[in-house]
This record gives sequence, structure tokens and C-alpha cells, in this order.
Amino acid sequence: MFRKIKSFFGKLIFIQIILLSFLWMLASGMTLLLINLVHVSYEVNDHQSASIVISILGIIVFWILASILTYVLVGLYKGRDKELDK
Amino acid sequence: MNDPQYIDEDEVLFRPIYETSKSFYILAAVLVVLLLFGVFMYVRQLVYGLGVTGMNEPVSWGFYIITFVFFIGISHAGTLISAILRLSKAEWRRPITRMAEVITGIVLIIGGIHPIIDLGRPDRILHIFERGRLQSPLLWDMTSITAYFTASTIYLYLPLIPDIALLRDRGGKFNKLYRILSWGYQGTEKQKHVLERAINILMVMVIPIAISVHTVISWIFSMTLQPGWHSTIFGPYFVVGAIFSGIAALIIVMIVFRKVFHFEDYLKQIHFNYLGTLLLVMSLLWFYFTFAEYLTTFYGHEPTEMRVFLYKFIGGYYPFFWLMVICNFLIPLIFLTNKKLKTIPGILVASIAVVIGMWLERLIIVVPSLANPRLPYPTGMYIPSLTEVSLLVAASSAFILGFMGFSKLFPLISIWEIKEGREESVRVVSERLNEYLPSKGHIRK
Repeated sequence: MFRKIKSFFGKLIFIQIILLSFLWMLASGMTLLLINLVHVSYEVNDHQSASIVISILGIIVFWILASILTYVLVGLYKGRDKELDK
Repeated sequence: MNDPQYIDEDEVLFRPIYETSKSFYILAAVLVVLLLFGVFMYVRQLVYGLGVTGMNEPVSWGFYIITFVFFIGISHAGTLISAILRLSKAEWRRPITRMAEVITGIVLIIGGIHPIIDLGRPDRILHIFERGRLQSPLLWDMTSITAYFTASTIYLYLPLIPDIALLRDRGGKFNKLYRILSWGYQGTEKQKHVLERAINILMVMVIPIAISVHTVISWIFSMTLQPGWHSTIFGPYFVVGAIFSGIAALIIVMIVFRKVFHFEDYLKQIHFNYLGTLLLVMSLLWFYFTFAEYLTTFYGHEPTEMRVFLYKFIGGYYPFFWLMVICNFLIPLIFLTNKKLKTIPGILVASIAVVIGMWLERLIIVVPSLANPRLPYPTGMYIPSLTEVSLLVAASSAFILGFMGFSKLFPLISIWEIKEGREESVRVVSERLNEYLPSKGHIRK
């Protein structure tokens, strides 16, 4: 059903890794943002416990999403039939 | 497959990508003009300030927030319905899920932009990053919408990979893009297993995220002490309303693309019957929540709450309120319970009424409470300006344009799921039936 993937495979992988890295940058960015907001809540004496709980939930969700996409993309790369690449 | 004479049995699903009619270009041109006019009015707002809108004291939220809540609500169409139908292994979902997921992606972007438009000065968004307070539902909202957008984009992309691989192998335009996005997918057993596992995890994850989004949006209102807003029922009420408007939007999108691209063989009467039944159930649920909400207010007869109640029922906003009830309850009830009217055109009429009704519901929630605050002000007045109306039109144009753009790049119906359905559904459903039906030869005592 699917024909061979041709030669500029290395360039493709490089572009795909760049695209995947955007998601990790988002996850990292959200983590830093939420940590900063917890820090602000300590400074202004807000409900620190609520801030921490919300932050933990938010951080976990983003990291799981980034992990799922990485799992898929690594899995697709490893699961390919190298014979079809030739 | 490499034979130039080869025609796929689902060739009609590829046609929107490779063939573009004159009317497509004309419609795109009209929509781009409307969008650009909206952008012009927004730039004008940036120059002259929020004074160009109808917002004032005490009505400091208007069309922008209404549209924000409305579009985020519609986003529930996609991921939630698609995820729930996949989770329940409903075979009839196959031609529907892609369009539902695309709706989510597009409306989340459009809805997410509106609070920034409402800010007046968009640079103020940076305050969230510097000095945001996690105690505020606005921050919860920002977090949950970002999470939902990320999850639903991945949830759209993963099932799209096999179709992108098909497009890659056909050759032709955008081939480099398809090569990048297909991630080397060849349809091997290992690759199918990886994709299936990831989609299964995501479809379970995305449901609580989707529910949290509209619950948190409702808390922006209900966590305040504004009369008409401070209600414990708002969380589930908003979620029900979101799913309701989402199903209606999905039906409209399906009917339009069925007509325009000749998908009659894929989007059949039975799909619309099932979605029409879901729409009716949501209409009844919506009515139940609305009735419970207003009965509680009326029975309590608290003076500031009653001011808002009467303003909606018989005061300045009564035309919008009763039009909302007609659109969200009466019209769906009439069209979806009557066999003669429950045709595709009838379901379309009901869906359009629901979309209008749900926008009105957001109007009824936002403005009357602000116009009648707890403070001893006279009732406020809100008349939307040309700026706000044009941005609403621009948002709607952006939605349609987004779909049109998607249709030129990717299939609107999941081709690999249709093929998989043809090959495996009968066997899978038979096995499932055998699992829960009693076997033959059972002896009764």
C-alpha cells in the first residue's frame, strides 16, 4: 500500500525533530510559567496550596502530551520496514 | 498504486484536495474581504481604544467575551464527540471524527484570540506571565485552554498520519509537506500498533481536559458574586451547552461538505439521524438545566437576582431570551421528534437554530448580569458597535476559511478509517455481539 521513502531521509528526520522540539519547548515554557506563578502566589500570600495543585496538574498534562507525541514519532521511525526504504 | 490509471475506490475523498471550483475561489475571496475588514476595525480599535466598542460601565464585557465563550463551546464538538464515539467503538463515527476534530482546532484559535481583543491593549497579556495569580479562574482558563488546544491538535494529527502517507504516495502537490508530516508511515504492523495505542491514550485523556475547559470558563462567571452568575450549576450547565452547540455546528459542517463535495456515500441519512437524536437529547438536557437555574432564582426571590431575572424575562432583553428558548428548545423539539421533519434539511434547520440560540444564550448570560449589578446603579445599556459586529463576522469568516484551507491540504473524511471499517468492522462487531448475547442452546429452568 505505501511506496518506498526516498533518499533525503536524513533531512526529513532533522525537520521532524525540529517540529517535535516545538512541543517540548511549549511543555517547558508552561512549566516555567506555572512555577513562576506559584512563586508569585508566595510573594503576594495567595492560596499557595491551590496554586501548587493547579500547577502540578497543568505541568503533568503538558509533559504527558509531549511524551505521547514523542512515543508515536519514535515508534513510527523504529517500526518502519527498512526494505521499503531502499 | 503507482499506476497512473489507478483510481482509489475512495477517490471522491481526495477530490477536494486536487480539484478547486470557481465558487471556492469566489467564496474564499468574499471571506478574506470580511476577515480583512475585521482586522482593519481591530487596528482602528488599537489606535482609538475600547471607546470604539459599545462596552462601558457597568457593562464591561460584550460581544468579545460572548464570542469567546461561544467558540470555545463549539470546540467541544470535536474532540469530545470524536473521543467519546471512538471510546464507545461506535462504528458510525468513521466519516465524522475528522471534521469534528478540525472544528476543535480552528475554533480554539479563534475563541482564544478574543480575550486578547477584549483587553484593548494586547501587551497586557504579558501581565499573566509576569504577575498572574493562580487564584483567579482566568489563569485556570488560560492553562486549560492551552492544554486542550495542545491535546486536540495532537489528537487531530495522529489519526491524520496514515492519510498523509496516502497523499504522499499519490505524489502531486505538497508532496514535501506530506513527506515531513507522515513521519515515514508505511502501514507496518508495528507502526499501526504504536498509533493505535497513542490514539487510545489520547482519547481517554482528552475527555476530562475538554470537560475542564468549559467548566473553568463557567467559573469565570460563577466564582464572582454578580447576580445571575453566582450559581453552583454553571459548571455542568456550560458543559452541556458546549456539547449542544458543538453537535449542532458539526451537523452544519457535515451537511455543507456533503453537498459541496458529494460525500453522500459517506455521510448518510443514518449519521444525521444519530446526531439528530444526540442533538435532541442535548436540547432536553439544556432545557432541564435552564429551567432548574431560573426556577431556583425565582423561588429564592432575592431582590438583586430578581432584577436580572425580570430583565431577561420581561425587561430589555426579553426578545433575546425568548428567541433563545425557541431556538434551543422549541425548534429542535419540533424538527427532531417528528419523523416527517427529521430529514437532512430538517436537521439542518434545527442545528442552525441551535447555533443561533447558543450564541444568544451567551449574550443572555453575559450582558443582563453586568447591566444590573449589586451596586445601586441604574440598569446599564449595551449596544454593540460596528467594530464588535465586524469582528464577530470576521471570526465566523475565519472559521469557514480555516475549514476551506484544511480541505485543500488534507482529507475531510478519514480515508484509512473508512477502509479499515470496510475490511474489519463486520468481523469486529460480530465478535462483540457474540460476547454479550446469550449463546444458542441455552436451557431455561
